Amino acid sequence: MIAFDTVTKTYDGNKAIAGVSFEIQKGEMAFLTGPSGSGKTTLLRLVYREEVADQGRIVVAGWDLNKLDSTSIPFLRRNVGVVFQDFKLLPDRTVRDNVELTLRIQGIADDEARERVTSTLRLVGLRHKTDAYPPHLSGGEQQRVVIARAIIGNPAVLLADEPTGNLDPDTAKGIMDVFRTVHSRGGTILIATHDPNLYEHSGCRIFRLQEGKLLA
Amino acid sequence: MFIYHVRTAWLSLARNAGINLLTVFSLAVGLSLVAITVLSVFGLHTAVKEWTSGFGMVAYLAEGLPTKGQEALRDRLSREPGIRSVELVSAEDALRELEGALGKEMLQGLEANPLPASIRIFLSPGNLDVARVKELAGRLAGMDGIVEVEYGQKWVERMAVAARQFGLAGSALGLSLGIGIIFILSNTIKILFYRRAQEIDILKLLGATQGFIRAPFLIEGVFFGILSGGVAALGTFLARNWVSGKFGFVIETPWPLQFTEPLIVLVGAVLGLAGSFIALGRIRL
Ligand SMILES: Nc1ncnc2c1ncn2[C@@H]1O[C@H](COP(=O)(O)OP(=O)(O)OP(=O)(O)O)[C@@H](O)[C@H]1O
Ligand SMILES: [Mg+2]
Repeated sequence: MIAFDTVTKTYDGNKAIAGVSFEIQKGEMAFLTGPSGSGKTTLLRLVYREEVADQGRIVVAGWDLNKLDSTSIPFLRRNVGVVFQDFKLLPDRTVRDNVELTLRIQGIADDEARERVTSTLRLVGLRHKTDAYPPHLSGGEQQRVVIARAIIGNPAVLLADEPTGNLDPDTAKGIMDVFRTVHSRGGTILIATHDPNLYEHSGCRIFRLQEGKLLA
Repeated sequence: MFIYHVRTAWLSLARNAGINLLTVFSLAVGLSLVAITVLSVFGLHTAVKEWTSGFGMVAYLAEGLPTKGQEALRDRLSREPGIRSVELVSAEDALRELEGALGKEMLQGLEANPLPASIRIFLSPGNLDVARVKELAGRLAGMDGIVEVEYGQKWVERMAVAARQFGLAGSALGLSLGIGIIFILSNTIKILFYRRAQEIDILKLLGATQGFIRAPFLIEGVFFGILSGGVAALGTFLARNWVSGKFGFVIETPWPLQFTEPLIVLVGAVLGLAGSFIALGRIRL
């Protein structure tokens, strides 16, 4: 579902990603870990084409990103749900409107959109915050809004960048439960995190990054 | 989906209501000026036309033309297109009118009547422009029995030239106002766009196409145009009614006059769309 073949990404002469190759199968849940600055966020950004690789080949959900023209980028991104490290919520729109955005962008109409927002908010345990505005939510609640927005479109791939950063262990566990639910429904998930508690004993594959390189 | 974009556009307008009202107001002033300029141009044309037809013409008849001949000529002229009515004034009638105007004593010394017979011609309003009046006068002057044709040549021509120049100046003014309106609109849309740059980045990350991102801004431009067009239409309607009430003067326009206000709103909408097209065309997504 995600395949990297000797991918390199350089910023101002520094290699943020250096010759990385790996493959994640359809329906697999995997973790990406490594110290701060090791390139986790950069790797994820390469997947949804916010960054372009300098070298190597990336294939995501059947799209060869080297051959992607700019008008196809939106359609790639509809197949990749992203839980951003910095959330990227719209502060002046309600939780419902924020989550619904994913569907609106795909041209999904009122009734269906409303229903799916309601069921997705129930899944992440935020049904009671439907009409709240993001700035009035706690960090964990905002995190779950972002997850709801990422999964509501049933993307082929779900990426999560530090989804439990700064959250207490209980809240973090609740969020991991959501990911496990999505995974149990057949979702392909890649989670970038510093937190060993998330991936230890998970039974999932773990990719370790160090200075842009994948450790064996 | 269209309704969703309309709602998005409306919310965006409402969020900055104060500053947007200011924009709407200045655009409305611009549109009103365009409307007033256009109406003034057509108003002057109407005035010149009415004035020209009020002038009429006088055809002086040859001396010694018998009454029969005069009457035949009168009947012939009354059938000419562009002439509403004619009136035969015999030499005697003309003298009597002159006596009435000057007093009998003034004319006591005259032995013979020096005045020629004439036909007064009243032009039909409506199909009158200067060129046609001139052409008609020339044709009449060439007829047997007519010595000379007189009309307010100088004045009619001057008025026509003035009206044409006014029309040119009006078109130039209207055009530059229109460009100014598009400029203000496109800048407003650009500002709105940059104010929402963060939101647009997020939309792109969620897979929005350029069309999805641009649609609300195009609609916002049209909203601006329609709102300011509405205000300008109201102003123009009041001004127009005041003029016709005060001077009893109804402007002739190429369109039915009561369509003026809807037309202003339409022009506003078109300018709004043009403004946001220009704004978005310059912005790279
Ligand atoms: N836009 C950019 N311009 C220049 N350098 C960048 C840019 N983005 C990332 N980098 C550099 O690339 C390296 C990897 O950054 P990245 O954000 O991928 O790390 P990370 O593993 O996500 O770190 P963290 O755990 O702190 O989120 C860092 O050295 C960073 O400074
Ligand atoms: Mg990071």
